Formats: sequence, C-alpha cells, structure tokens
Amino acid sequence: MNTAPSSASATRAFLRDLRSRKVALVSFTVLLILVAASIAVIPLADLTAKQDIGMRLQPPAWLPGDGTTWLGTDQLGRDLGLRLMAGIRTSLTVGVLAVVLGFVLGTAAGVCAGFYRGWPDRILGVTADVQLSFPSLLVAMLLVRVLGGGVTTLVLIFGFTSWMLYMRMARSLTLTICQASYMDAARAIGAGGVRQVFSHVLPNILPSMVGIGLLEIARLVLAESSMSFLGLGLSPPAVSLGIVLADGRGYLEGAWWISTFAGAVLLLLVLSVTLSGRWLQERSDPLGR
Amino acid sequence: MAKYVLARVSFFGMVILGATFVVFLVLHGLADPARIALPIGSTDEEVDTFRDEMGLNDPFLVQYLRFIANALQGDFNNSLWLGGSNIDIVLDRIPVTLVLALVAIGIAGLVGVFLGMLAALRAGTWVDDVISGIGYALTSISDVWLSLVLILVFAVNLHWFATSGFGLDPRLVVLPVLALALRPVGQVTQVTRAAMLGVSKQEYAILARAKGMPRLRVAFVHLLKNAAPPILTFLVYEMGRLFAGTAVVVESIFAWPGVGSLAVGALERGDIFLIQTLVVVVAVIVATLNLFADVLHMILDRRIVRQG
Repeated sequence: MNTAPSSASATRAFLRDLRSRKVALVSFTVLLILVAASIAVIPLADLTAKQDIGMRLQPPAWLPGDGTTWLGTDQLGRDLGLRLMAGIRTSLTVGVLAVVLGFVLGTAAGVCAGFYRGWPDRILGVTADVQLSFPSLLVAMLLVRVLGGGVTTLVLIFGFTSWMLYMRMARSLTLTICQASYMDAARAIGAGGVRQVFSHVLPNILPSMVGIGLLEIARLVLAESSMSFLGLGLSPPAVSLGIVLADGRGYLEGAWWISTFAGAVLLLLVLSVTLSGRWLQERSDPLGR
Repeated sequence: MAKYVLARVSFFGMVILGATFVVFLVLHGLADPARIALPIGSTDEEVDTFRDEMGLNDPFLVQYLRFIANALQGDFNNSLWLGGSNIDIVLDRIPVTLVLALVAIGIAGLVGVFLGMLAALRAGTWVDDVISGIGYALTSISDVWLSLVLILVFAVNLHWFATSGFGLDPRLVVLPVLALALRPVGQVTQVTRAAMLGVSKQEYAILARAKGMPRLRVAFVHLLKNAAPPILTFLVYEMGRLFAGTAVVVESIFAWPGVGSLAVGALERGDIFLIQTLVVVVAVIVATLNLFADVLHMILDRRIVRQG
C-alpha cells in the first residue's frame, strides 16, 4: 500500500464490497432514507411546529381511535411524524458537526504526536489520557448549565471532549506510516515536515478513520438525546429526538406513542449509523480491529 | 514495579486535579457563580452580598487553592439546596448507585459472556448472526428509551413492577437494574466474542484441538482463561462508565436517590458547591475503578505469560 489507489478503481472496489455485504447495504440505505426524510421536511417547518389543541394526543391513524395523522400527535397537537423527522436533522447535525470538530482536533494532535514524537507526544498523550478519565457526561451537563444549551454549545462541548479517541488512532496510524519506506524516500528527496505530513501521512491515515467517525456520531446522537431529555442539552423551541422523548414521558399511560416512536426512530438512526460505521471500519483496517 | 506504581498514582492525582480544575474553571471562569447559585430574580445587591460571603471575589487561584486545601481536610462546604455538609450528602448517596451499578455489571458479565462465547463457538452460523445482531441492537439503544419502554410494558401495562421508586424489593429493583444492564450486555457480548475468536487462533488452542480435546473443553479450559483479561478489565471500566454516565439517566427516571439523580438536581438548582463536591467524588471513584482495571490487567497478563 505505497500509493493511494486511483479513484475510479477505488469506487468500483467500494461498490463491490458493498454489494457483498447485505447488512451494510441495508443499514446505509436506511440511513440515507432517514437523512432524506429529515431534509425533506425543511420546507414544512411551519407545519411541523403548528400547534392545535383540538388535535392533541391523538393516536396514529392505524390504531383504534379517532387519529388522523401517520404517527399521532403530541400534547400540543403537533404532528409527531414531522417532529421526529425534524428531530433527526437536529440530532444528526449536532453529531456530525461535533465529530468533525473532534476529528480535526484529534487528528491534528495525533499526527503531531506520532510524527514529531518527544515532548509533544508525551504532553498530548498525558492530556488525552487524563481527559479520558473525566466523568464526561457530568462535565458536559455542567457546561450546558453554565453556558446555556443550544446546537453550537453542544457541538463545541462534544468536540472538545471527544478528540482523544481520534488522537490515539491518528497517532498509532502515523507511527506505522512513518516506518514505511516511501517516507524515507520522501525525506531523501528533501520533503520538509509539512509536505511529508500532508502528502503522505494524512492521505494514508484518513480512510482508516472514517469508520470511527461514524461510530462516534452514533454515540454523540445518543448522548445528546439523553442530555436533552434531562433538560440539560437542547431545549424547546428546538426539536430533537431527546426533546420528543421528554415530551412523551408524562403521557406513558395515555399517549404512549410519543416516547415510543421517538425512541424507535432514535434506535433506527443509531443502529444504521453504527452498522455502517462498523462496516467501514472493518473494511479499512485489514486486521479487523 | 515501584516506578510503575509511582507513575500510576501520580496519574491518579493528575486526573482528580484536572477534573476539579476544569469544573472550577467552568464555574468561576466562564460564568458568574453567584448568578448561577442564586434564583433568577435576585437583585444586584443580593448577588454582591452572596459573593462577599462565599469568598467569590477573591482571585481565581486563591479560590481554587482554598478549595483544594479544604477538600484535603474533608471540608466541602455546605449545600445551598439541601443544607448540610456536601460531602455527607454525596457519600450518603453512593451506596445506592454502587448497588445499581454492581448488580448491572454482574448481570452484564454473566449474560454477556455466555452470549459472546456462544457466538464465538458458533461463529459464522445463524446463531452468531442473531447474537451479534442483538449485541449491536442493544448497544444502539438509548438508555432513556429503554427505561421508558420497560416502564410502559412491564409497569403500566402488565403491572408486574412499580413505575418508579427506590427500595430493596423486586417490584422496585428489577426495572432500573435491567435498564442499566441491557446496554452493557450488548457490549460485553461483543467484547467476549472478539476476545474468544482472537485467542482461538493461538497456537495452544489449535494444539489442544489437534490432540483431540473436545471443543467445549478447549473453550472453557484454554480459551476463556486467556480471553478473560480483556473481558474482566472491560467490565471494570464499564462499571466506571455506568457510574458516571448511564446511572444518571436511570436514577432520574426511576427516582432512585443515588449520585446521578443528585447531580441532575444540583445542576438544575445551580448548587455550585455541591456540584464541585460531586465532580471530585465521582472522579475519584471512576479513577479508582480505572486504576483497579489497569492493575487487574497487569496481574492477569503476567499470570498468562508465565503459564504460557
């Protein structure tokens, strides 16, 4: 693996692998459908937020009762289906942006540590290990309490508390790459540190780290929903799956569909992201780590 | 050996100091702690008086060092919300969370190892597919949703258990423990399966089979012994994660008076001194569990290396 494969044959290899793994195919498809649905309701923002007390707490149309909507309505008469799809968008936005932030921070730190070794490696390593031992949920909730909730705050909090994982992985991958002969060759023809990193190290480590990114998105989507449920994450008028879960908590005996469907959609989302991420991870790491 | 112990102990200290420093920084540096602690409508006068009384006007480092000095003597100030000594309040609540986490980890260990071994022994068959699928599904479930669904099905509809509340009888204990344990079951299953498959490729396993030892005996006598270190250490790490993470949600939903629900309450009410105490205590507990896991790993690894 001395040079990156051309993009055409890489695409063909990707599609072939994809076809031969039915589970991964299904999970990617489900994920795409969910994302498409969440984007499709953007122009329906008014309809999603429309409250109608006369329509409150209606069961789904396919259950006994006088419901007319697909998944029922919540305590303010809002269409649950529309709210859930908007919720997917918010939860995924937080997850994706936070992972991008953490990924950039962590990969930069990891490549630095692996490439330069010595003091940068030791300091970054200890910092990462110490921060990994923090009770991160508590710290995150504290930060939300102090700084206020909201998408931006959550993205920053999650990003700055999750970089360690990417750092460790980038570091170990960089260490491996640095021993390859093409790195000696690059140095021999006079490539400086920056050029070595950007032309050789990064292109070779990034594909292996995409899978981890997806798995982290799944973890952060779950974290956001727990925090929002407890009132220490996102709050109304924002819509997230955690918020809808909280909405339905008081109605478990009556309008059980609110929390049940919110969590089911959450499960579907997280599961499809996890399986897709796991497949990508296995595919990129020959040892199946 | 002594060097290793010294390094680990100083790391332990760094974790505690680091966590408390971050919390202090957030509470006192990123915001006005007096505003957080006092109700929203407080006048500027009340806020200033509070600041004077609590020594919040002193420089940041002075406050931090005072906090550390007091903490080392066991003084964590009093709770603004509950009154009374913070450290006593927190220590009172630890047993509840500890019991919850221990039982959950116990269940996760037993069920997870069993399922993981089963999947590994039947790797590649439908049994493996089903178990792995269950494993993924369990690790993807939201703790919130799991708790709510358990309540909905088993308490509200079937009336087998109570919907919430703390006590030591089955009607109150089963659901919270299940809610806390099911996700770790999925994770332990995955870890066990991977560990078992990993060691089954080792030479001693292949040799045992070649000598004609039945598969199950190989599995229990050789494989499990060698797969045990990563599984056991994972269980201990996971217990730390439960303590500081999932327990918060489960305790809140089932109204159990543990450390997690205390944290939510303290955060909601802006009880800054209780929050500081909680972070110290939880950090110590988690760091201790991690230390224990590391030492366990070291001991188990040495024994394996010696026995070969």
